[in-house]
Amino acid sequence: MKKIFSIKLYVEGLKRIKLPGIAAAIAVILLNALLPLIEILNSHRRYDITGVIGHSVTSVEPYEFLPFGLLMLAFGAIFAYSMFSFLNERNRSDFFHAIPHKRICVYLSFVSAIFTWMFAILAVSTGLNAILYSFSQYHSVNLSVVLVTPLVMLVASTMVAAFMTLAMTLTGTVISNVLIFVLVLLFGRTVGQIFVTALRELAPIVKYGDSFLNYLELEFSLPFKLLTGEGFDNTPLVIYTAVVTLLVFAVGAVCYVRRRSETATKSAPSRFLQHVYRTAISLPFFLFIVLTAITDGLDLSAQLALLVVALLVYCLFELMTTKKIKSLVKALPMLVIPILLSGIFTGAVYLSRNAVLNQVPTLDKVESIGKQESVSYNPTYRELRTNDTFIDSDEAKELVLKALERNVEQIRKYGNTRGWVIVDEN
Amino acid sequence: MNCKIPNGCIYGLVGSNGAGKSTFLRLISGIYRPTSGSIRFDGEEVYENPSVKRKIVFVPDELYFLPQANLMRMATLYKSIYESFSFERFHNLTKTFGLSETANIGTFSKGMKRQASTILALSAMPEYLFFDETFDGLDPVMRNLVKQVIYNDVMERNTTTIITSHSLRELEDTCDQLALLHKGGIVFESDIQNLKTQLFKVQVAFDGEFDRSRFASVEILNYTQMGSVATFIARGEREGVVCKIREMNPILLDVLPLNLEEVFVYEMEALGYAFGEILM
Repeated sequence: MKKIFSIKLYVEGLKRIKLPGIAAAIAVILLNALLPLIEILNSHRRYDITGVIGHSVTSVEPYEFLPFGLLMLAFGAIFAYSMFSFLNERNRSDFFHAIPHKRICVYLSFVSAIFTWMFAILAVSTGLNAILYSFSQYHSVNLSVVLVTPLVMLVASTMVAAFMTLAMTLTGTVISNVLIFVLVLLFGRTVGQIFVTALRELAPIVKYGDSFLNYLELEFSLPFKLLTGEGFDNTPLVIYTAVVTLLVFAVGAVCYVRRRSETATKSAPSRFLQHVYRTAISLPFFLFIVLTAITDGLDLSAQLALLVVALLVYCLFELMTTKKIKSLVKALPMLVIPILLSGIFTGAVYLSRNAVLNQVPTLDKVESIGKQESVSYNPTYRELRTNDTFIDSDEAKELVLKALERNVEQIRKYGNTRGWVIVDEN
Repeated sequence: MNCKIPNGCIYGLVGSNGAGKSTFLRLISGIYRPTSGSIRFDGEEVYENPSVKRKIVFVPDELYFLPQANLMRMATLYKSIYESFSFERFHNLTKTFGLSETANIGTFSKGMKRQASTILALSAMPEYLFFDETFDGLDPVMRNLVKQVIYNDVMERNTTTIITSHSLRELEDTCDQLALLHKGGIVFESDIQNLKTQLFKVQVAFDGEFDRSRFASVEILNYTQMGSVATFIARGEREGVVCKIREMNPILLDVLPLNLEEVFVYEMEALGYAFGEILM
């Protein structure tokens, strides 16, 4: 059986990122020791003043894990960069390409080492946090939170590590590592967000809340959710993130195996990929012009300013990664590609809009009518009951369908937000 | 490229910058993937083949050491990579070269770093050793020591070694065979002993007039004549050539040895190359 993992290389991998690993461990563990101590002291002070042990026995809240979660996200990228930084220098790259191990073996061994460090740091720091709280008479430890929260953090930070690893396999300089990391991490979500925003602007009847469009938005990303202290209880999001992480690592493996050692010190393995990177980095800026035209209408000065920004991004990327004016001059004719893609994107948005507006069901196709309200972090009984209540009378269904038809008519007549959306209140 | 490198040979490859020496070594070490064709060791491809690669150690011109590492740490790394790495040999070699196993390699001089990389390479006990301009710039004493250590390896373990350089003088006293690489191809290849003994300079003078045709029985690569003194480069068995010329009763006969560079110059000229254009 072909060897795809080496314990010795794995141990070498653990040693390779020993420095950032220790730095992360110290920062995270210290934070996880300090926070409970401060919290316990505060609770003790409240007790001294009030004589009451809190207003209730509180459990440890997920957001209290946030500071070290943020650190872990950053260190996910740092670990991956440190591990695969040898790909940026010829002599180091040649060394690791010369060793008697299959490239997939090197890759998997090193990736496992990254994962081990992150798991160990999270496990130790979370355990310490829980142990300290368990000694407090003012706090109770919610075991499910203790188990689930670091797992969620691990998934999110591993995803960041996966994207950085992918970026390292696709580039050969530090600048291009960072730029392509940002690109692969944000491109899909950014384009998705622009699409969804544009579509909701053009067809306001598109459902908010529980809709497949949510999966395209920036918000549906675990690292972003964690930045706002949410996402710990969103199981589909966590599973989705884990699947994406595995996919990205798999793509990284293919790229690493196919990568030539000569790519070290180059911004891209080939001129074609350099074009792809440049187009992808600048495309969201071109798409933003489309979005503003849809949301705010045609405003020549504003769109011109945005065009200048997009062109600057396009040119700056080429200059920063290749450091050659000649490359930039050769890249200028390729500007037609992001412009073309923006046109295709615009077409796709309008086609989707038409598809949405054509989806007015008939009475017999409607099962029931429901009202959806945004649910807060601590939902009220009314909010929960409202979202669980469905009306199936034909009269109600007909009323809503008629209102929907009028809405669609108004949208078709007046275009985007300039039109009125009428809801029949009778 | 077409060359024959016997087992246990120390093969020197010389060529100017950009001739393809490093590319050649990286290809046969399995670092570069060939754009076409294949490179095989005993019928097995080298690229992405650990069973072949573990027989090879490649020492590049730009050496790689772990940051802040000492020799011992590098030895541990090599041990994790090459199963055949011998710590016993490693300790012996560090003692022979007088290097500290615990000092930071970053504090080593350029020559010491080359010694360090040679120690690590030899301690991996490979069947094939490839050095890419590794010994260029070493002082003569150190070069002799490295040469001796490589010789021992060749004698004991029949290691096959390829050394590249852009200088003939660096390779002259180290290699068994030499080849000249130019624009990605081998233009000349020969055994060093052969090169040094088969070509020699003859200075001869006669009473009366004579020209080149007098020496028709001798293979001549280069002939010049000033008055009654002729100087030419002859190829062949030295004693035989000298006997033939003596039979012609010259008034002056001198046989002078050639250094390797001169040998190469005349051999290349005979092949139609201007040596100065190839090796700057």
